[in-house]
Amino acid sequence: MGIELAGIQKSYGKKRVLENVSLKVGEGSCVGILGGNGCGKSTLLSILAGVRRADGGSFLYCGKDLLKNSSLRAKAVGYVPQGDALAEELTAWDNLRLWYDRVALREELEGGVLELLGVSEFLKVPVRKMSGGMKKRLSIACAVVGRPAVLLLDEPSAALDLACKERIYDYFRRYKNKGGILLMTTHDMQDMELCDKCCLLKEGTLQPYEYDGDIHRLARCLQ
Amino acid sequence: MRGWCSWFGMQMKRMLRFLPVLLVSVAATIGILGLCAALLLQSESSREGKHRFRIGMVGNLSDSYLGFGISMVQALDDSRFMVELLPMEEAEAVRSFRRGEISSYMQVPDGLLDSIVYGRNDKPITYVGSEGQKGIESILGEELADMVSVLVTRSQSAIFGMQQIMGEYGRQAETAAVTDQLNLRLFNAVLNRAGLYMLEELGVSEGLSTTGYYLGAFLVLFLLLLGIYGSPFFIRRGRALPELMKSRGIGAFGQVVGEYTAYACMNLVCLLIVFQALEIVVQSGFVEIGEWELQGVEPLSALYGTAFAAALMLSAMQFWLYELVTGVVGSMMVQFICAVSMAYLGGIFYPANFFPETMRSIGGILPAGAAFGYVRGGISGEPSLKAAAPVFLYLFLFLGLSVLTRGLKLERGKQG
Repeated sequence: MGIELAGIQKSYGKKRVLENVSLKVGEGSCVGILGGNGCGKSTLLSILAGVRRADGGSFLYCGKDLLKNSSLRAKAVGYVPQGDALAEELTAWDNLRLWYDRVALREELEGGVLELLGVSEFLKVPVRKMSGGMKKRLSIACAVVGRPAVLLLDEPSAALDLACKERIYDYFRRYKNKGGILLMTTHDMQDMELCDKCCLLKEGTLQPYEYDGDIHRLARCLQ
Repeated sequence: MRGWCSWFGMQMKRMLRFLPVLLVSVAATIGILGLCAALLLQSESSREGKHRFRIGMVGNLSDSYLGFGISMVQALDDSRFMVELLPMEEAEAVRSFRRGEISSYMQVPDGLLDSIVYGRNDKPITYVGSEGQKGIESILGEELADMVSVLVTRSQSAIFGMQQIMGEYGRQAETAAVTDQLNLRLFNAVLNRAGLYMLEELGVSEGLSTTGYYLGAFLVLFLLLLGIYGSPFFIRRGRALPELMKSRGIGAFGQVVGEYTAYACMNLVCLLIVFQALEIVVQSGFVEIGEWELQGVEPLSALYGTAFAAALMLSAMQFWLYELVTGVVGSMMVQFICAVSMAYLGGIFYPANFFPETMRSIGGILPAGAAFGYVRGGISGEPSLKAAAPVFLYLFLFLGLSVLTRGLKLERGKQG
């Protein structure tokens, strides 16, 4: 059961950011969306997450348009925005309690997603004292509550060290292997290695891009 | 997804994290405002009973009539604001005036009495005051100096005039007795001067007593300042969490209501503490609120309602301003400028009666003015529906604007 984006459009005033974005992603796969700064990658993900309204198009999952079905979208789609969606002054535990009830939280901490991401190691630490990697793992933990079928990731590994990236990638691989769909925007070469397919968002449309490790070719394409 | 209650619970937890720091700030504010109130009330009571205008007298005061007139005013005048006339040299008067030891000084010109005796009266007493001092004290001082000048000059003119007429009619023998008689009449006029008028106090602002006005003004000022103290609750908010909330079904309305409720609770807790302090102060008798004479702290219950409504409305305004302007410096500056300017226009720093009619009307309809109007009703024990209406209208308006602003921020946010 995959997802299908069909003819998604978005303008900010007279500026057309997304012209006609269409894409099909199968179950258990990861698609990377590449593009220059300000090309509309974050806008696309925020539309799919329901944060912004699209001017047109559809986001199909199980035969239903998630752009028009907010309750199904809230269950089926997890979203990790570019910034950390956390309350700075509260602890990891307090932040998780926004999304998980007490029982679910205990379960996820014992062999569940929270253990996999290593969140249980810093449950009592206030977010403002956390490193970038800890915050990102906690953000992902918050996003995957209810085990959504689709995970939208907006530059998930930006400014993270290698060890932290590896921990996060490890979780993404497991998620994918269990049939989850990952859609991520990125500028990071390591992120692209995780992807089964890459697309280039240019002039408002998505074009397939075969990433072969040649960053100079990629840079030329982005211009 | 656990919904709005979890969001609200999280905001309450955030509020509790900030509360200790906020309470310290509140305690400091209560201390400072309390000190201001004590000083103001003390100076008010001084003005009522003890304040003396010290006016220097410069020039030749050796003439018996002039000296007599001056000491008459100095010793016998029982008007409310007492005048102390201090004979001194001009240089000393200038020095004392500059040091603020005297309010002003009067210069008696040489030949004043000759000018009066020969009927010219062309050497006026000069009053020297500061151009900048146009407060109520300087106006009263000027009036008093004028009164002394008129009293001394005219009484002496009367005596010399009488002596001249007695001489012209050949009745020099009776002059001494008639002079005494005239002096006694002048004594009498001065002694009865206080009885010539009746002082009626209409109150300083919309009929409130001075203490009632100060109480209302301090409460509203305190509520306005809470906007600055509440800054930690707002300035660490990122855009990502509201975005994630929206993706999970809690839109701008739910988010704003949850955050605002927690923020308003925080402000109400602070206000409650102020009320507790107020209750102690009123019960101890340290301050007597004019409107509550002999009623103890019972009228506080009416004030609770109006002050709480005002707190809810001003919290909504502060919330909207934080929603509108992000960034630590920018948002705190906006809060400060709005608080100060609205307090000024709303008649909180000075009674609105001091302002021209147009300014008073504008100040009255601004949020701080509307809140003050409603709180005034609470103090006088007659909160009116007319004063409540703008408060609740503003409350819903600011909440609506906050929801709109949050919605626009979520929709238009970062365009990348």
